[in-house]
Amino acid sequence: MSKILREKPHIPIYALLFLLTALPLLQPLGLPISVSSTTKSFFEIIDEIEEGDIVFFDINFGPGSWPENGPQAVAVIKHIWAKGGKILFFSLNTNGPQMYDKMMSQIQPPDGYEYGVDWVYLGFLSGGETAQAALTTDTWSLVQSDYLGKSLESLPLMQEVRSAEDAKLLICNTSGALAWAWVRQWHEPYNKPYLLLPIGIMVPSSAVYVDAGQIAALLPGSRGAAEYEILSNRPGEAVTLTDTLTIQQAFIMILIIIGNIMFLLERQGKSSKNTRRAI
Amino acid sequence: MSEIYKKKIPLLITAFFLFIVILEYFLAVPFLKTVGLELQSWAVLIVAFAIGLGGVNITKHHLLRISNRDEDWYLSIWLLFLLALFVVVGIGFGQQSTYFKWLYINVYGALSSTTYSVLALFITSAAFRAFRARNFDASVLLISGFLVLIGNTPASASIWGGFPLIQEWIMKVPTAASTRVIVIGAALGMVTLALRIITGKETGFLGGAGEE
Repeated sequence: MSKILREKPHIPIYALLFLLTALPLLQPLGLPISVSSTTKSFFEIIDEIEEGDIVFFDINFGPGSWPENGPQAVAVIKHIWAKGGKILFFSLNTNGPQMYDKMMSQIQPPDGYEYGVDWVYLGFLSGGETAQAALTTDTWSLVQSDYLGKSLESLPLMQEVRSAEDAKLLICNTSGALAWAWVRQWHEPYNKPYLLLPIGIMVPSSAVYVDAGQIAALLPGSRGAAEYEILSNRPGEAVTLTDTLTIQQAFIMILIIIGNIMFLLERQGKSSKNTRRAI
Repeated sequence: MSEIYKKKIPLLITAFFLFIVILEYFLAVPFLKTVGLELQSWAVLIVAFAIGLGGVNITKHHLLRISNRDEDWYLSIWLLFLLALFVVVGIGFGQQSTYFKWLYINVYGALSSTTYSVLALFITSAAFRAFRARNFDASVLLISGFLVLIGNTPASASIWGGFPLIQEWIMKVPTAASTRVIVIGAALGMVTLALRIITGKETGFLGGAGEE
């Protein structure tokens, strides 16, 4: 075993990782989830939404990051709708339309909610930061129809939306760098709350914008989504995945400890050999 | 004459529009706002064309690879086949069609998730093989990384309430400080680049016209 760990450690590591990932999914353990202050801040901002408030929602990710971005979006949209908010969805990522379909297949709109009146999806908008600027300055100048090809004139919600001035806040659900561009195109010119739903790896680079107040709050990856589901009393996909996440992280910590013990023992062995030779 | 057409005129056009966009962002002048909005529409259209241009370029590049029988040229055939398939099904039946959705979920979706998931294997293997206290610097990195990892674990606060606080401090103080350096450095770089473009010093974007 020790020889395998030294020479081909990836074989047992990958096998164990597979087992530790699969087992909690098959048999959930119900490990505790603590809610962080970051998630609480995010929740409180959404909780302040009043009936009829309009939220701009950027679906800016692809299927690869669904396990992180998907549950975040589902939890937050459910909360916005429960508060009576309306949502203008759009995507600055080409994968956005497919992610929107997947999201909507997991969310049951509240009774009385209707497409076109309470939410609209504009589809993929090309142009990156330029599209952000155009969308916020004059939404109708950028698009003339929604994702389904319906003209904006025929959609009641769009009669209330002409620019960022008509929105309460912006949410960017992303796995990419356009998140920082929203600071320039949303927070700076309009001084309205900008909330971020990033993948875990984006959290350290986003933290500086949160500290500066340019991002009002963020929900860190699938862990944040799980915490949000707990806070809003709507357990979903993220809570199910949390057991796996906890066990994987514990496994990585154990590997770090074992790796370092082996390293120290090897170094000690080498130095005592050298001492013996010297004697 | 060619110098004027290839370099001077494109530089003047670029500098002119860049100047307008910068002024429009910082000054609340209605005329500039109208011009800026028009320019934004142009830019969005150009980017949309660029996506098509990307498709043409990738086709050209892979056709060349196939004709030259470059290494793994048969993968280029596969790529072109899938490119054509997605374009035909997407345009022919529409993105809402069952055919396109099936292709997207079962080909692109599955491959994208797999590529992303492979990271878990690399991270786990690297944690065992590379994350070691070889010297003082590596030890500092190891200890702080380990503390962030514990603090990030959903159940950490249930073990000890101090773990999330330590993690938060590491993220908010040393990590944020170093990230700020990168962000401010990149922003200054962007400002410098814009100034070089306005003043005609930066010509790389003109397609190999050289630099002054």
